[in-house]
Amino acid sequence: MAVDTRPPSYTAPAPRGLDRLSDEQLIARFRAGDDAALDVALRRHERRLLRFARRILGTRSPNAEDVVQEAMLRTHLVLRRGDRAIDLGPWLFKLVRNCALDELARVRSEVGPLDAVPEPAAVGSDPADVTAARGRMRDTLADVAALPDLQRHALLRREIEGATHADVAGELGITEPASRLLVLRARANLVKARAGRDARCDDIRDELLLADDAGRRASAHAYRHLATCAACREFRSALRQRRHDLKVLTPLPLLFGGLVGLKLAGGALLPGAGAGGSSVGAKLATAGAVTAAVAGGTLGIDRVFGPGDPAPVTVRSVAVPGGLLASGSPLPVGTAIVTRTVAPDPALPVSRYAIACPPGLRVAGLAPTTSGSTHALAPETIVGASTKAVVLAEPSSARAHLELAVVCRDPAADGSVLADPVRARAAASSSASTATVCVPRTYLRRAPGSRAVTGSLTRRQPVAVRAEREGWRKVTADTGATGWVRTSALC
Amino acid sequence: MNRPGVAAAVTTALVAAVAVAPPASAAPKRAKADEVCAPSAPLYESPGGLQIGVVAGGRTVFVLKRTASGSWVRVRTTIGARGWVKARLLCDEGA
Repeated sequence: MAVDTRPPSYTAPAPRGLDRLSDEQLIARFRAGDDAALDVALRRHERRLLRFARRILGTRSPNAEDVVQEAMLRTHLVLRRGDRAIDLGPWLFKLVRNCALDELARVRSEVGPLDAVPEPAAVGSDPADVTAARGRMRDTLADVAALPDLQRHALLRREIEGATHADVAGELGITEPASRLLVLRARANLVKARAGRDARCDDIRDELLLADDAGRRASAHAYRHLATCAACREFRSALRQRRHDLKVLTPLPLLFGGLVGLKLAGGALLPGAGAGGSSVGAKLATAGAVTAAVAGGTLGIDRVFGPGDPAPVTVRSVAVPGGLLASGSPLPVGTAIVTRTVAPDPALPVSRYAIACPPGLRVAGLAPTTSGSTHALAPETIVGASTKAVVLAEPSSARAHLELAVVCRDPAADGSVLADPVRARAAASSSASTATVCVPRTYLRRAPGSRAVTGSLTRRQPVAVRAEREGWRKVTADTGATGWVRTSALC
Repeated sequence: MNRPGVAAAVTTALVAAVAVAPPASAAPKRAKADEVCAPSAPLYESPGGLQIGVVAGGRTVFVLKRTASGSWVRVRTTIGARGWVKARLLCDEGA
């Protein structure tokens, strides 16, 4: 016989008489085939469970109801599949607690920084105290959520529910000493996690520097701090990159060895250099410097290449004339490329980097430097409008470091950042007027109100208006794309 | 004699009713997943527009929209970036 796994409905009115029955009696009736009986029992606890979930997840969390529903669904399935005796109230609270902690752990692993975890409620009258209490509670819950499953279960059963080690051991199928050890380790891990989080960044960075100098790993204390401190993780990445840079530069003295009298950028003379400079040597040195810069710039340091500078990467984009600019070719007027070498954290699914264009220039795209790793502008970066690019990058198992190259352009009078914008055809049309997109992004549609799209537009993108009809305008973008947009999307 | 016309009208009405009727559950529409079948897929801000990134081969993308011509697909990548890729670079061409 197929098992009915449908979740119960909690909105229907309770059949008369069931309200007077105890949870145990209702469960018995449910197991005898009366589905409405469990609805009544669950509804009894629903409001308190919701409050409990919100205390853990935060009053503004949209997931509290989902957590309660998940707990109820699990209860429904457990009761339907077996005749195990359960005390419904405590059972539900335990399930909600575990589901809420799982939710916290999920949010933490997906989002990364704890800043994104919703704040739980706190009591108190002084706003400063309330804020501090919220912070402590959030941190503690996050630490508990991060504990290994067995440790978390043992700790919560002991600390919150007062269960004996015999109970915990029985539940987990382990011995009592092992249960005791789990609880001790869980407590110790919570203390260590707090100590790591509360450590001063300066101290941690000093320790990272010492460990780097000694060629050893930093302490577990430092790593616990790194798990919650994005700034220190960036610092550690910078240290690693610097080491990598030095390896890259190792053969360069051999290259420069024959260059007599060549001055380094800092003004220091190469060892053994004579007085006579060499233009050939200078070119070689420049080429070497560019190669080194591209092979691995200093981590976290932006390198700006302006008009006339050799392009540090190949750019295939309509932001450059002809759509292609080979690496080493001089950058055209009004164009800059800002590069940065980054080391995406392998512990995070995605790393974010903010790279600013030179003053007056706007982001005109990202020139990928490798096809082996997904990296792209974040949705909040609007090409043609933003002056700072936020780049998302996934960690790569093949390469520890990634070179990001943001293309920047000086916008034309009409706001276009394309090298060869489509203006001629629009201007040739006597009926065409110009407009600018006023919303962050909008689709170009094949007909007014149609779901079929022909492209999309971004804020500040110039368009030539070709026709108008009932709140819609037919436009041609500077990319050449044509379609209909709502009049309200244009300035 | 307009029976074929009536039949066509009824058929159209039925199809429209089915198409317009809300789904049985109010669950939000999920974007269809596809995969990059080329060594990499450049990501563009708009079809034929500025390049804003690259999606490595084998990565999953979620299809948000297709152009009427079917040659471009707007996707969301697993790192959260959004943009247009050429449909032919996806295993199912974003279908």
